[in-house]
Amino acid sequence: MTVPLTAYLVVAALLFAIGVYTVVAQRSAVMVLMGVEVLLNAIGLNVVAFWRFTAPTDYSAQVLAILVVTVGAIEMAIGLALVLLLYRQRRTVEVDAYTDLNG
Amino acid sequence: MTALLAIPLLPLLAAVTALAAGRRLPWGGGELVVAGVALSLVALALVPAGATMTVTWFESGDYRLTVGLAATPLTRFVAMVVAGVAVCVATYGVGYMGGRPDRPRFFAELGLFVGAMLALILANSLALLFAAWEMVGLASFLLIGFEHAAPGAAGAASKAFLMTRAGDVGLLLGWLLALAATGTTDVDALAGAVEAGRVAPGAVTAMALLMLAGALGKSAQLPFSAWLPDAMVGPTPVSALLHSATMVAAGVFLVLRLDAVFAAAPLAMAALFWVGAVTAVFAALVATAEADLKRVLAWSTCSQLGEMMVALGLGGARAAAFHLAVHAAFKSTLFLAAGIVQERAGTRALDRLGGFLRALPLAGAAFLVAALALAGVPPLSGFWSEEGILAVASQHGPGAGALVVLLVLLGGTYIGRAGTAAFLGRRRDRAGTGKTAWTMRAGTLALALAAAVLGWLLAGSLGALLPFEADPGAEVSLRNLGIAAGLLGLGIGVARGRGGSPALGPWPARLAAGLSAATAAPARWTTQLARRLGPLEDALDAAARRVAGWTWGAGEAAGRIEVRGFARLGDGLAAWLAAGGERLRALQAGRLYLYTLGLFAWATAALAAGALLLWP
Repeated sequence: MTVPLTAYLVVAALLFAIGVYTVVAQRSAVMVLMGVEVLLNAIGLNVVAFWRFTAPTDYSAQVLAILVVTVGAIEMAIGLALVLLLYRQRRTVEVDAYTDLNG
Repeated sequence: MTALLAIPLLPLLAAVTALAAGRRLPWGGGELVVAGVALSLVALALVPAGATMTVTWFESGDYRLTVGLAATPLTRFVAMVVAGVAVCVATYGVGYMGGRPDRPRFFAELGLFVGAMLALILANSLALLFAAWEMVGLASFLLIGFEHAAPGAAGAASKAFLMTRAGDVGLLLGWLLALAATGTTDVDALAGAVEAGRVAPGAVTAMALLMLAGALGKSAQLPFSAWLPDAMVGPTPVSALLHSATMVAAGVFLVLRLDAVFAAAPLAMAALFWVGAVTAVFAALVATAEADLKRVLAWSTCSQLGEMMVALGLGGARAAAFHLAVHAAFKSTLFLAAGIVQERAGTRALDRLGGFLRALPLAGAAFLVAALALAGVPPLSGFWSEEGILAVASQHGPGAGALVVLLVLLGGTYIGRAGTAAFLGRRRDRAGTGKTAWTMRAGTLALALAAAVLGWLLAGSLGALLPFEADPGAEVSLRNLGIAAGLLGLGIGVARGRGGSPALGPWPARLAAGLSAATAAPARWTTQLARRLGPLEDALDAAARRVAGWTWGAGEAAGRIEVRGFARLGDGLAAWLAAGGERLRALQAGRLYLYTLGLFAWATAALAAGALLLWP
């Protein structure tokens, strides 16, 4: 049996909803970053699923998926570095403690 | 060329130097003026005939204004007469003004007078001629009013200035018209244009009549005569110079200089003749009844100038120029002799003079010679020039000839009366027996000599000096009639003149009073008008001040609007923007979840809007 496209999309939507909730509701900067990663992966799942079911011969979608993963990795590296620096400075990873970083 | 330039400049230079350094000189600057004018005379003799020097003053479009001097036969001749008389009169003036502390001012003004007159005569540009003309007027004003503390001097000076100025307006308009018609101020160019018929006849007539007004004012012809007798309050050398060579001669000279223009305007020639004739007869009649020695001579000048105008009006330019020179010689002699008498007697009133022939033989002899010359007794100078005028007049008919004979008769009468009253009879004055300065005697003697022989010389061997073409001789009968008239006039004058009573009864004196009143009336009107102009001017002043006040107020209001309106508006806008910025800042709270929520809400809204729009 094949898994239909809708199933993939539902999973991706769930993942996206979890990611949004994590980013909005979590207080820890690390958890916010993880939420962002979930969001990215939800998009990636969407991209791969649409590729597989609409244009399996076109590999540009795979390239896009690899690009999303790469961007996610880089984003994570920079994000973790920032959080580490902030933690060293303020001894906390609570994002509410960083409100004085506004413009 | 340098010599030409030096002629008018030397007296002017002498005048400036006399004013600056006259106080330290033994003759008070008089020697400078005498030397300056004498050097001009030398320069005049040296300057070649036909020498000209012209520079362009400025050009504007088609108009070219030049300034320059020219030594034509006419200008050389008249300039020689002026300079010659001026040397003698200035020499006389040195003695006349001897010892007075204000001498330098006198000599400076005298030098200005002579220099301006020489510039006027030599000018070949109407602009320069006019400027010099005005300078002559100014110098005469200063000199007539020299004794400004004396009663009447200031009034007489203003009268002379204003009356000649009334005529000068005519000259100004005339030369501006000439400039408009020919595009240049050059006198020769004007004459050429008029002769070639390039100027409309109406314009030529208007030009000639306007310039005639200037000439009449300067030469004291009717109706501008009244200033000349009043100018007698000036020092005697001034009177002598003013009446012979410098001031009044300018009017006659102007007509001579613009001969071509006048010749082309018959109306102006007729006006010249009639004004000259009326003035000559009128002034001669007044002179027979005048009670003041110098005023007799002044009216005589008016009359003689009228005679020149008659000759000019009849086309006798040569005769007029001849008479101008001769008249300058004998009239200045008469004035200088009268000045010597006045100095001795302390008065000029004819009824208080008398018997000076014995006390002042030289002045008496000079006066006698000049008086005989005026009466046209041969072989003295007046005979020759009056013969010339008689010839011109008799050619134009018996009326004009009779007029000149009448003028000679009247001339003999008034001068015979004046001479008799002053020199014959017995002494009636109480003055002492002072000594006349040698310079005064030298100046008088030189001019008397000129009065005696100048006519004979110019009629004979020096005739080439006279400008204009020679005329054929006078008819013998009229010549004899002229001599007879002169002698008869002298006889009448001598017979009735003893004691200074009027020669022809007192009625001519009323003529003078009438003229005086007639010229005083316009002056009074003008004064009243000027007084009335005062309030008008005040009103204009007030109006101008009010306008200025309004402008000031408007400026103030504009400033206030700027401060209260625009500035406040700008401040308000800036404050509002700042407050808006503050309010917007509140959105930037630094809370990550708010940012994320905003982001997702915005993305959702955008997607929903897009879906609704794209829904088929």
